Amino acid sequence: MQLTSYAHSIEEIDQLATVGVGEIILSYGPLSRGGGLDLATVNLLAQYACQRELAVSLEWDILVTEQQFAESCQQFAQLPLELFVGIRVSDFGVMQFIYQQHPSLKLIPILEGSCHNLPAILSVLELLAGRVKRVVLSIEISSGELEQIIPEIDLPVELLLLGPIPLYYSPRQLLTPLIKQERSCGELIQLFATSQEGPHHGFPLVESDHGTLIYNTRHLWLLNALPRLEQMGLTVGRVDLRAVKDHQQKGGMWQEIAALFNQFEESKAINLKDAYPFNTIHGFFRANKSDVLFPKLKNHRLTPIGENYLGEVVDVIKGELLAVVWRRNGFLPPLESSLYLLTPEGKKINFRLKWCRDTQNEPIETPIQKDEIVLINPIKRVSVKSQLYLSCQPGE
Amino acid sequence: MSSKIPELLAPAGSLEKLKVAVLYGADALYLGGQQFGLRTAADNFTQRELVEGCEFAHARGVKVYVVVNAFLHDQELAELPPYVKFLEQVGVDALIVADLGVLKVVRSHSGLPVHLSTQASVINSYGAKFWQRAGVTRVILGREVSIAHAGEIRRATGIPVEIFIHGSMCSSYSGNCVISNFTQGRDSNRGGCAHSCRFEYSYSDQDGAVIDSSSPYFLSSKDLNGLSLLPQVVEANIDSIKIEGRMKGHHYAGVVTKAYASLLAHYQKIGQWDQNILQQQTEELSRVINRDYTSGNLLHPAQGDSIYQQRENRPLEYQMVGIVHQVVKDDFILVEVKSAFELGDRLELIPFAGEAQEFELSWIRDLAGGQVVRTRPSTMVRIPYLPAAQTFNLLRGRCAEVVCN
Repeated sequence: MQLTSYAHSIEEIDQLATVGVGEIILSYGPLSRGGGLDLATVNLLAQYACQRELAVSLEWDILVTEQQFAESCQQFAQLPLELFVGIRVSDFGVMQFIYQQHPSLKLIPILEGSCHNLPAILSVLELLAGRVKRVVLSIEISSGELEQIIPEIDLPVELLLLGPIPLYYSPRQLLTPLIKQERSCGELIQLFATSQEGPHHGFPLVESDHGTLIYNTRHLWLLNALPRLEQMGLTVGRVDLRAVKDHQQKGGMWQEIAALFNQFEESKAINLKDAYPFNTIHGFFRANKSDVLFPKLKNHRLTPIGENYLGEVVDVIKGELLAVVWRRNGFLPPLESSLYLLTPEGKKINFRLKWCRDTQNEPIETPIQKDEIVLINPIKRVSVKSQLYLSCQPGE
Repeated sequence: MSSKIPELLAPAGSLEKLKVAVLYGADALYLGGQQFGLRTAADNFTQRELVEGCEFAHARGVKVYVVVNAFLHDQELAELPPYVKFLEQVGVDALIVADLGVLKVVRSHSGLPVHLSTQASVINSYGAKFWQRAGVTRVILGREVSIAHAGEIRRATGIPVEIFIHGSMCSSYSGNCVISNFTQGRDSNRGGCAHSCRFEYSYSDQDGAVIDSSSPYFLSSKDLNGLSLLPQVVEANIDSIKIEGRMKGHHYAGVVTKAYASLLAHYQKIGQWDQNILQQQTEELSRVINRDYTSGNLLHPAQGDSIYQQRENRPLEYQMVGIVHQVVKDDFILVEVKSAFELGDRLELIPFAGEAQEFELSWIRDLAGGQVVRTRPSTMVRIPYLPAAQTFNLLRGRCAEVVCN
């Protein structure tokens, strides 16, 4: 498995080259969500990386509105495109643009947000036929699912193994109002937010030219799963150490991570995790049960079932009547018919129809139309929303 | 007149709300079944209700679109084909999807038209082209696109476009918020959104120093209101305008649908925008549940003033008290009580067209004929006949007079 990571300086490229990283990622400020390098630095670093025989991919991960599109394309065109082995893209519109307008460029679709099933992933590859260098899968796909998905993809596959987890991306500049200061172009505002209504403290917030980002309070850590991922056929593991500010510490970590990629040793992985300066989680790698939703309030006893369903009780006047909104069109049960009510609590109450009147208190003699309100004889222990059924089909 | 009137697409959170939205002027409705949508807490439609809802809407020339817009994992995708076949059998007019895998299943198991959900965040012409190649027949653009740019996307691609015109907004790009997923284990893109953007937050800087901010709700967007921008919408040749709100009540469904429908209907008939209707309906929109209004990104990119600095919705001036179930000419109106009201209260009947009519309750009787002084929710009562009343009209009262929740 190959290791890829972000580089922001000549020194970082040297560090990455030294530990044997095959490919680096460059983020260009105008095209990268969290901000990035200026044009001159991208040029410099791309050329330097190539001299050091490192492959370079470019990150264009902002979502681009129609209004910004032409400008983004111009900024993209200024870059040394021939030096990039692939363009990392999140916006399907940007993928389509590169596919259509830059036939010599390869794409690295970032499918971290929206493609959690194999047919979706294969559809992207089909729509970008022949132009995809590799595909970046979502960290919300569990290991069990990855085991099924990765072998079905005929291209290299990348996954984030270590780094911050993006939670939220807005085009609105939401931090400027908090600090009550204008932000100059290219500058970042970085704060932390703590929920007053939940247990989570210190969400990292970033405001860039492209809007506002929120990251999880804990970073993703999947380096302990390297052997399993390798077995699944994962081709590229991405490590994002941009949040590690200490240059020396970062260099040391890359060295240890590269060593793990070369030869995995559990004890070394544990030591590395202990030394990592942020709290970590496995995310949804072990299992994704986020569809086991919050308890649904809907009472399924109130769901009408079958052909014998007649309607729903909408009013109860004790000792006098039940009002039913009739749901079965063109049907009048004969008097003395055997009926039953299913209450919201699940109780079944059998009774006989003694009388049946309309809302003007006149006896009903013709078939009842759907949605009519019908008054019937009172039944004890029945509440509103109880469902009315015929005990057997007419004629049975 | 070269510009066409856009389709008015209203939310249907339940069968009864569907009927309300149809009768108050929707051209089309969107609703969710019991699975695969993003509003798991809404009542949603059983298969029986879906059949009935389609029959009711189609009988009145109103289209029905069903949302299947969750981002599904492989296991869930396997459960989708029978549901898609059922929806085609029922005769729904289109499905709303966000996931390429779902799109593939829908296209291989039905001939139903597919609208791309706003969850896919298409915000440029190339994005629309990408999805057009994938097989969608309409694109519901991301809420970050202005009306003018929506028109440009329409012109550049030829694909019909739909924009959100009214209701609650995510402050994030739709589909790009997974706060619920990682903090509460609830997948916001599979119907589990915990609305963390409405929570209160405190802030600190890089050194840990607390930021003294008067904006504890920095993520909470105001609600979108594009009523006054309908002339631009028509000018831009937008195909469909959508009202958000499957989780909201009957009053919202009826009043908001009516506001947009009445302004569009007058324009369609006369060819001019009526300022009186605009003013009257703007006031009506202030009477339904909202978090203050913003034009969002419809004209310019939304910024700090689009954020709502409160935890709760704006206090309501009006409360819906009931829904008309039967009108017996010159005798009585049968009302299902939604909120309590009393003898002598002044209520308003909201007709399907025209201004609300105020009246005083001179008598109230229950279904057994007994006199009622104060009604109870979830009961049926008779009140005096009003010539303007029709089945499924809404009744409301001022909060000063009735009990507001």
